[in-house]
Amino acid sequence: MSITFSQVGFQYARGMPWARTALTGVNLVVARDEMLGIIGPTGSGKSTLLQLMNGVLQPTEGQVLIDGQDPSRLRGREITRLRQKVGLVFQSPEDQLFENRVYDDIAFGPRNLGLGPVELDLRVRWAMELLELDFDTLHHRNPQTLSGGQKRRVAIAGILALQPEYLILDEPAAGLDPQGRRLLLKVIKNLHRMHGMGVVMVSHRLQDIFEICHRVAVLNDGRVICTGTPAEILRRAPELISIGMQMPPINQVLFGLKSMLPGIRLDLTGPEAAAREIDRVLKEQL
Amino acid sequence: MNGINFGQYIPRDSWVHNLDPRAKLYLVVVLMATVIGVSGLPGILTTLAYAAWLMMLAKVPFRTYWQNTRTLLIIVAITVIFQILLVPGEVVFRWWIVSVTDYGLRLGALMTYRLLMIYLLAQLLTLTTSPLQMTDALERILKPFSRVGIQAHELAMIMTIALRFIPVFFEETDKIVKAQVSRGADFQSGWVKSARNLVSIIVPLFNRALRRADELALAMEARCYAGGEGRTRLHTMKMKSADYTVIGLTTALAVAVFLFRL
Repeated sequence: MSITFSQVGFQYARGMPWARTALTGVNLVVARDEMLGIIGPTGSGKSTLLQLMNGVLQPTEGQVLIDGQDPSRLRGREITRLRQKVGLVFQSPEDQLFENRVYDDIAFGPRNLGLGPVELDLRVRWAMELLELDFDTLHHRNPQTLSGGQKRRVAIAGILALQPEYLILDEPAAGLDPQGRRLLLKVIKNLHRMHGMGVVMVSHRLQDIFEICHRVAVLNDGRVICTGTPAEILRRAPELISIGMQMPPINQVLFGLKSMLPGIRLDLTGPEAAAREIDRVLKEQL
Repeated sequence: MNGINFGQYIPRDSWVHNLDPRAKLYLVVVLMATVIGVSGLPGILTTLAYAAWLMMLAKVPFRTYWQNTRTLLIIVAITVIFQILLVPGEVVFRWWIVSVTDYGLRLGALMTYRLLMIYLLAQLLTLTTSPLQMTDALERILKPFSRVGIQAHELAMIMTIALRFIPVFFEETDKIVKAQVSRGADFQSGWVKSARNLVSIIVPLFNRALRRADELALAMEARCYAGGEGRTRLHTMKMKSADYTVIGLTTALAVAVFLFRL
């Protein structure tokens, strides 16, 4: 079970004088049981890559297979079923809220699947609980009156209510306050761990990706330039910096310490691991 | 969503491009009126020649006009067919229940000429004049009417902003459609379902548009925008001899057509 890209290319406005190539020769496999992070500078094709994963965009070259199915060959209900399987959360998803009540907005997706009222109610409650939205106090509120972080979570709940097998998120935490960000990342991690969803996440903030993803793919100029575990990616830090990416602050600290403490490891993610490493190296030196 | 490019401005350094936009506006409006007034072959030929001469000077390839006009041909064809079939007169050709009259043929030809000319002239204007120049010209033309309560500057500003945000709206609509389609919204099967799902696009679109308008107003105020009162321009429009030539020629042509019923 996987989403497989083979030699995928994508061009916007194909055949027009203002055509723009967004992706070239992308080979990538997203396994059902992994958490994949996608990083890359602005305009490297990250959002395009995500939109190819549930068939809202079709590749102009190569093939995308979702659990063995080619979305460009599917019609009608089959394509709806495919989109139910791969839940795609767009950038600032709170912009798509349109119903008068939180409940109805979350129920929009499942209703489109044709579910009955009992199943619908279960799904909405389930999605709200997962995103730590209190059903009793929030379900009848107007989404526009909620805080930014709450709106964002309502929008994501709207996707989760489809009970997707893969969850694809484009900059899910961008523009949230620190608490909102932490809560959302925790929720995403849980969705993977407790509910076995395959997660693909794009973020500008490498610390968010390194903290929760098992594997990272780096995109530059429409190509996947490398994939690997966060530690492997961190070992290629100079390359990433040269294409304009910014390392997490804690890794910048480790790079800075390297000249004083030559034995220090640089491929660590998160402040706790870094603190332990600094502690270890300092003790060794003494 | 990139298919809409009717008469998109094509920057060039040509005689027509460099005309004052007010003169161009005058030219196109008066010539369109003339085209409607034309009733005979001499009128058709002179206006055609005049328009062809201007199109040549505009240095925009004829292919561009053709590409933009292709879709209109269906409408022209339908109109012409109705003219030919339904207009009474002396029958020149008859087959089964279809009868073609001389008067019908004449009207059909005239209608083809009028529709195509009006369409080509509109393109001549938009292909050679940037939206900004156009609103500037409108502002200047409407300025004398400010005494009777028409706020020329404000109208021009509204037009500029509207034009500027059309592509933004297309982009936004595209994004929202994709997002709702990802939530299982169906826009393909059946119009009842589609109409209901349309709400899921219109509401967020308006929501964003209103918020954007609010932000834009604030940003303009933050940069001390206070309307057109006492505002000077970096580039002032000035009529040159070429502009007077065009205005003179156009006026002469119009007068001739209406006076001598060409």
